[in-house]
Amino acid sequence: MTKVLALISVGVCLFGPRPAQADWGFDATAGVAYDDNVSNGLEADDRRADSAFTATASGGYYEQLGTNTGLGLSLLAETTDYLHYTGLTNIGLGARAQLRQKFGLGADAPWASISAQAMHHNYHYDYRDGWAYDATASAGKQLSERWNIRGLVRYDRYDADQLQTPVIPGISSAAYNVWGWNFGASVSFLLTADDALSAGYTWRNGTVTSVDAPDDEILEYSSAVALDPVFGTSPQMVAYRIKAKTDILSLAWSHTLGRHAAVNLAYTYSLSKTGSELGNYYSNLISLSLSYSY
Amino acid sequence: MMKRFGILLAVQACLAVQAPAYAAQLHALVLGQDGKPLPNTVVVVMPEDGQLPAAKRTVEIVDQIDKEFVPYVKPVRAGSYVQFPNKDNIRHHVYSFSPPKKFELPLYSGTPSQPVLFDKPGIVKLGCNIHDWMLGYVYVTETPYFGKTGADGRVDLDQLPPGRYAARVWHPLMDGSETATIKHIDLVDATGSSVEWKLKLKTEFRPRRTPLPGEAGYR
Repeated sequence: MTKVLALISVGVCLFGPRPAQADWGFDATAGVAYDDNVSNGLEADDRRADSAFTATASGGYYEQLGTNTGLGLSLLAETTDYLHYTGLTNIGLGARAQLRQKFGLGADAPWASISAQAMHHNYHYDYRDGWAYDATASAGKQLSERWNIRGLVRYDRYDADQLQTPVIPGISSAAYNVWGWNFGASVSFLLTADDALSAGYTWRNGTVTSVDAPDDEILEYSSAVALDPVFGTSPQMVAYRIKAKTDILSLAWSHTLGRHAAVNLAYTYSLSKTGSELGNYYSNLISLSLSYSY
Repeated sequence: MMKRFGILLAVQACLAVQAPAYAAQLHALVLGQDGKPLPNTVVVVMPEDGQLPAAKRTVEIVDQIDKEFVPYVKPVRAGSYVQFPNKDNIRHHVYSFSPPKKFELPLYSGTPSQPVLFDKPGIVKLGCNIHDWMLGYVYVTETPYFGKTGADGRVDLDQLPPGRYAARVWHPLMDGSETATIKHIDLVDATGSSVEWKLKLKTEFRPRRTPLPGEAGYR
């Protein structure tokens, strides 16, 4: 109930009486994704691959506060519908605020922005339900008519709504409560008038959740452990939280279809290094989506 | 007899003040290198004797509609004013860094109270500081004899005094100089002359209107 009231409050703030000249916008994407390690498993036996249908929508308005400063407020919705591991299927509802400052006149003037986002995720497996928050500071510049660069610093956090009874006395069951500091940079290049290529690298330092069959090493290095039946119950698997430094490499191609739409192909490689005997966790994610922006 | 003679003289006098008795026409066709018609190309003809009629102060219009400049290319004669009405229900911030006319119309809605004077020939590239993908051009020419091709790549210039002209074309994406397109044409009668250009074009790289995956865009 509290969540619903919170979202309604945000909605009232966003869509209540607005200045007549607010710049209303709507963005949506729909696509498919394949992840070769949705469980973020360590051992080959525990690594589970799955495909999903994905959709996102956001709507809101942008208000130019001054000559170079603008505020964007948006409501967000997204869903990821997994084909096999349906416990991961979830719907997210949230809101984002972004304050953007441009330093000068023209398309190649540098800009900086700060944004905050909160989204509640409702999973088929209820213990994964929770709020995802992030706060981001980013900056960018168009280097030429074809090249753009940007960088960001982001803090992300996930807080589950409810916790299981601890399965191991003395160890928290908040296995899905994770946080991380992210430092990233990306570059994009217009290959043709309609085709953009982008590449990015993000370094994340924080905690991650993994699902594996439990063993002594996992339990030794985990700060939280909870039962997780999403990937099966025989053997019984557990979700556990560990500290990790993650390298995230991303590549994307985007082809515009007219003024408002684009088709996007993206690849992301993540490598989480625990710095302990547990070793490294990695995943490959490929997605294809159609996006619309108005 | 004297009365008829008087009428003839009067008719002759009328014809004399309307000289020239006919106006020449130029039928221009502009194609891309692929042979397809090329719209938004400015066709300019300059009398080689340098005789130009005095400029009239006119007010031309470049709208902003659906976060785009309309028209994309606007040819005007030097000395013209251009008004930039904002037909969107949001504010725009129009500017140009181009040497023939540097100006800025900070955040506004509706129609600015003062139009902008374009008094130097040249190409003025327009932008909007909020919507970076918005791009438009005002082509300022010293001659009153100009036009812009339509979707069929054609434009007809009429009411041209007979004489020898240097005709040239300009397109925002043309690969090469405008001077290289000059063709010398004799316009001697009202039947008109036809002239054709084939232009090699460059790719236009605009900031994207649709955000890249994972980016929120300007809002």
